[in-house]
Amino acid sequence: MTRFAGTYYDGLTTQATPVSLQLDDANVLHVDGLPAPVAHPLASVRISARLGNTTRALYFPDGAKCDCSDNVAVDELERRAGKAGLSRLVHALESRWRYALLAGLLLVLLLVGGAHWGIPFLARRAADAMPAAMARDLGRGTLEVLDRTLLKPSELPQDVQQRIEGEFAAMARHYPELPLSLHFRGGAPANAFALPDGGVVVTDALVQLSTNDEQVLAVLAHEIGHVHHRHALRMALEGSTLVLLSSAYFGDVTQLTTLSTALPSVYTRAAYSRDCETEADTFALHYLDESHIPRQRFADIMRALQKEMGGDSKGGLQYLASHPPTSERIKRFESR
Amino acid sequence: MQPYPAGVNAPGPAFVPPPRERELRFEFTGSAKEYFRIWIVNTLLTIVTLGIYSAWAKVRTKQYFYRHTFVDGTSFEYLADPLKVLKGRIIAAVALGLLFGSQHYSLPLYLCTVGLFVLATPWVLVKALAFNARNSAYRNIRFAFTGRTGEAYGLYLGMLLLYLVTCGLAYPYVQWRMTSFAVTRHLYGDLRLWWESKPRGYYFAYLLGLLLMLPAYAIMMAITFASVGDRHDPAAAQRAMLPALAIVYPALLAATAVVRARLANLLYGGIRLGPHWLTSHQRGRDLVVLYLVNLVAVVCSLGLLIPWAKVRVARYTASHLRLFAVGPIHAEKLLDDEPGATGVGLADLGDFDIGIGV
Repeated sequence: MTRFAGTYYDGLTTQATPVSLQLDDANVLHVDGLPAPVAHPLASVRISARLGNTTRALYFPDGAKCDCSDNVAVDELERRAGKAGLSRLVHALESRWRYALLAGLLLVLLLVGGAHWGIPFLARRAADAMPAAMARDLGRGTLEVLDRTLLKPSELPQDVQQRIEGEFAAMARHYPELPLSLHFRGGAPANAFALPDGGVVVTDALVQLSTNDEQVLAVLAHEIGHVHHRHALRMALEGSTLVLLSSAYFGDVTQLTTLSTALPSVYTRAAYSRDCETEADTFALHYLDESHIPRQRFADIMRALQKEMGGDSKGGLQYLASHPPTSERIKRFESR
Repeated sequence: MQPYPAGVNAPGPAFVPPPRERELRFEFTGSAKEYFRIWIVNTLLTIVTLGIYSAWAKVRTKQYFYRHTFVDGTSFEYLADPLKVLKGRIIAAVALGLLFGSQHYSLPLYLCTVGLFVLATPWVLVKALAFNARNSAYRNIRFAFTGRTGEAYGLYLGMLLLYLVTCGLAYPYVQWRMTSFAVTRHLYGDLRLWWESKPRGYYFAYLLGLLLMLPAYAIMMAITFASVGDRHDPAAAQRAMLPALAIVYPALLAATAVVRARLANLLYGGIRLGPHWLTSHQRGRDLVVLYLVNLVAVVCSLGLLIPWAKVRVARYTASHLRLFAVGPIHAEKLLDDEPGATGVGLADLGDFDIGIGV
């Protein structure tokens, strides 16, 4: 094998000595250029893995090392020593653009697939497997926080509350397996939402917005759909998984940018809740049909809500909206 | 030297001029194209192996950046064993899992876990610094961290108290004190690192950042109050927030860049290594551009330009760093049985890395 150049460091001081190296036929590596000749059997020399075109290092058993920028020569040493294996494979992948592009393609497929199917699938399994007691604790905490911050006690007349509660109880009897409960709250715009523990919160404004009880029931059926599919739990699990994963993968970039890490998780979470809304809508559709309530009731209240909120989200922002476009949802309930 | 005038005897001992310092530039020679391929392959392998490869990816990445950072013709080396990094990551993952798991399970268990985390912090910090130092080398001489866990506990508790008592006003001092501990307990071979930055530098950096933020906050407050005062329309208030945020975010970016530049200069520029010293001349306005371009590039490329952004930061940091060397840089390996290095051998028992770098 031909001679190649290197820089020798004895490991005791910072002294750098330019040397030339040569491997003889008996696989002994000779280092020339030092005050005393140095030779090591190749089998006892550890060779640093190839990494881009960075300088390689040969580590000798006595703690000395030799830096070599001649990658071809060091690769040949590795081959002669018969211990390249995995590190060479990794370098082969890292050094060619076609593999890099392939890796990029696979990465995008994996990430998109994982975000679209993988995490929701796992979150659904975990949500279904979560004990009812744990889910209840989660829900109780949520309502307490909301009561302290956003919500106020309901100001609906007692008789209205009792009437709707009675109708809700009749609905709940259809789903004995669900731990359903109804809460009236004020202080927020027209809205209804489901909690992880099976609680359904309705705001005063929503009841006041409705023109008949069947409209409220249609919304409640939609929320029971969320409870049935354990959406709140799934969202919480998906959200925390995404935050955890994205902080793991983008963690070392936080010093470059902080906004770029938040963006993907916002984007995917918006997509998740679109799917959840569609599932809950389907659930409500079935309930309305079975209870012989006209589907139009849901469409009516949605239209009233849409008017209250000030129009539909249009154009490019649609995919970022957490609900599917309202007009699209209304159409489902109006078409037979 | 001037010849001696006739008749004057030559002086007895020869005059040896003190060695002039040499100004040595740090240089980062890595390329975004090369690092992109390494990064994307390593990220893919990490995901495919469900995170196990992340330890190897971390070592390769760090080695890539170290080996491409040159000073005085030689580059740095990162020598960590990926298996030890993996061990550290598994411990950290289990600990975090316990923390998040116990959160939903029982309050006493959660509080116990949080308490354990708080208690373990100084120990983990010392371990991580020691691991990082021991696996960093230059010219085949390794760095070492000699800080003691006990000392770290005292410092940590004292600083926590000071921080609480002063309602956070002592934060720059606390940061200075912690950095001082981290820097001055480092050895390069037998050379100790000294640190000459002063707390007032930290106060000045944060004051400057605050001054940059104040006008933006004032404008935001004015806009918010004006819109709220007009009429009780939540939608209008939300619309008014948009221009307010458009003022605050650039101000925040500028303040962050200025503070970061000053802190980096204080950290690196205060370091003395034996007779040699470092200087760092990062500028806030450079960092504003650097961060802004990185942010836009990373967001618009959906993360694909992360390697490019990292290489840019490394190149900027290195190109503004200088080593002033007096005579040759000479250091010797500290024998393991010498005082100050005994902890190094012992530390191998609980050896792990959590990814904190100085």
